[in-house]
Amino acid sequence: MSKSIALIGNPNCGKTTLFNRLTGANQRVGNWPGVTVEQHHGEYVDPFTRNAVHIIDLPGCYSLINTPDMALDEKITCEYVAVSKNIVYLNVLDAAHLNRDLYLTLQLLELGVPVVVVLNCMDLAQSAGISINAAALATELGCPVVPVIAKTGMGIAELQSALRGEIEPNKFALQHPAKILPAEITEDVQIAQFRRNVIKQILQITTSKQDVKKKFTDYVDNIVLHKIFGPAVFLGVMYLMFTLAINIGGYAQEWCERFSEQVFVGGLQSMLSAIGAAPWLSNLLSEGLGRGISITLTFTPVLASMFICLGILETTGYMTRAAFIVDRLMRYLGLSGKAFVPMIVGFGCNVPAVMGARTLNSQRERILMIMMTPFMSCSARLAIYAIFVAAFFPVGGQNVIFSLYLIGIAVAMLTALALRNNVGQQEESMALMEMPDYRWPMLSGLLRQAWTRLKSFLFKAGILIVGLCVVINGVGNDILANIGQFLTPMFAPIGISAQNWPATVGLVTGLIAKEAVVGTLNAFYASDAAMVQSFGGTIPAYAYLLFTLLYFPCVSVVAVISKELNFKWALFSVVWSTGLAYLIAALFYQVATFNSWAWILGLSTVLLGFFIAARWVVRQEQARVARRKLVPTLVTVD
Amino acid sequence: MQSLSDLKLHEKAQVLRVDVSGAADRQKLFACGLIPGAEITIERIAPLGCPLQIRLEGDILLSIRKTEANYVKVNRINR
Repeated sequence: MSKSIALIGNPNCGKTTLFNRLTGANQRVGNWPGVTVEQHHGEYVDPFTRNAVHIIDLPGCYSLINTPDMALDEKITCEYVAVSKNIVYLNVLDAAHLNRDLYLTLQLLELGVPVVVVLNCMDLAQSAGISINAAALATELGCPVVPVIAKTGMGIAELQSALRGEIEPNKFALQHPAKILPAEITEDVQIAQFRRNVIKQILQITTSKQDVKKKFTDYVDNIVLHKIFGPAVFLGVMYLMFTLAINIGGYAQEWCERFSEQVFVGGLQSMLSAIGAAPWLSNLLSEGLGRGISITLTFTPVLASMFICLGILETTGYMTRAAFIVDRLMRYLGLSGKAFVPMIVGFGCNVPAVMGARTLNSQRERILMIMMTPFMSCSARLAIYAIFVAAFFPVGGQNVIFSLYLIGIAVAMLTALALRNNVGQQEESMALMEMPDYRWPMLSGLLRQAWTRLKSFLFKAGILIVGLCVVINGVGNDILANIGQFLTPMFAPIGISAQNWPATVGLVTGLIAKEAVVGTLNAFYASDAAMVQSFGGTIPAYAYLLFTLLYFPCVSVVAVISKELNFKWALFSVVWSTGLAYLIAALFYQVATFNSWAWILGLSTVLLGFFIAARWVVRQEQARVARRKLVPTLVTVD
Repeated sequence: MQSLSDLKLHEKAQVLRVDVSGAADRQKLFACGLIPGAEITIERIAPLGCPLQIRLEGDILLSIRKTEANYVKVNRINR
């Protein structure tokens, strides 16, 4: 029988880094609390016994007491611990913050489950001037203690050997004080004080702290959280991220496009005709398979640099600072600053961002955040912008793209404003957020993580795009073309002319995933020049980009919204985003081309009506839900 | 009695009472070391006046909103 081990610890102590280190997996890591919001399973084979060891990575938590007002990610861990008593708990501690992390260790020991303590981040503890006697700590706690640095792999072999033997549950039970309480002190405070005293005693025996000069984190925070510099740094960081991603990526994109077009389309074609392949086969392979690969390669550099930039943001610890800066603004929208961090992650992909809502405490906040998330412009949309900018906006392209990101954010804020008073009362839940120390990102980890994201995106996008190219160019495009021509008149107000029906086809295929838009357009238009001519200028192109930015969240996002909230909210998100996309893109086109006042006034009125109608629908539905059930509207997660 | 929100930048205080009502929030505060008797410092205040960054024993930095800091009663420590 293989052994099972569960990783447990406070948020952001390095559980997933250790999990990746032990199992060789590539689960997402970052330097902010709440990166992991679901269980991950993995395995490693013990090098000596050849036995498989099953590892479960649990979301971080502070307490094992299951309460209804708890964030959903912590609830997952609580519920897991409640039912899994016969499993070894690998309790990961941040060695630089033992005072906090031992609190959970005591709770585990009180349960009487087998525990192995891992002192992670020994390097950080050392640079903070803390020295820890691991053997003494093991004696005090009555369980094995293994110091490691999960980031570099130091101590992993020792950890594996510690896990090899039978782990006995802790031998001494912690004595809680008798329940005679003064009126002033509630029971939970008394228990907390008791645990705190135990920790204080343990730390006095097992650790010593040298005073080190002012910490790096303090210096950085002095600037980054400064009253004036803070917001400037925040805006600068955001702008820099996009400029870097788009310019560096864009430079490589040009080169990549020329190369891949020549090799995979032209090269393949001439090679196939040289060996005498039938014209239909040669066409299927070069215009279908070859072109699909070529398009996918074209936007790879932009996405790669975007993923690296996001990775830097996530691993340094700046994310929680950004949340601190914008917290006030977020409160105005009915959210806590905590919601901000997963939303930035949404610039990579909206799916983990929607799941990130689990870190929030109230259902109301989760609904608001999940409804906002699809407007965070994800990397699939960046792929579209990259192609369009190269064709339509050779100068100042990064500003065009930046403006689209900003509009996405603005529409997300509009969504929150529309809903904040209609999705239940403001609940008493605190926007407490821990701010971790800054860490230097490790280049290897950064690249590996970016590569993992890029690989999974390219794989998914590649199959879809190649498939589309094969269908459109190889097999025949009659059905899609008919659909496109049939629907195009509907999109006349946003500037898609009758001859530009492939753009409509792109919107249809883009329902599956937004990167399909690029694949479709490229398959129909043999060259950028043909596309530019058919669109008829930069205004219709920008209106089209606006529409693709805002409309229908892709199928995966709709599915995950449906899972995290319910089907009705997923439906609302689809109607709301598509409606806004149409109205905003049309309004932009009409204003920019200045067709007539009637159009502009008409569209503005409809937009206002849409806004009011959405509020009304949500209010009715919430009232109905409130009438029907008296139990709190908490989603249980298994 | 003073609240955590009454403290000024860089002021130090001892926690007297935690009147936060949510059970999960209380547990989180306790885990981070914010319990009666603990010392805390107002480390920074966000540019828009809220939230506060507080430092707890053992170098824990926590971001807390002013409205919520109201529920933490403290006793200012004069230096």
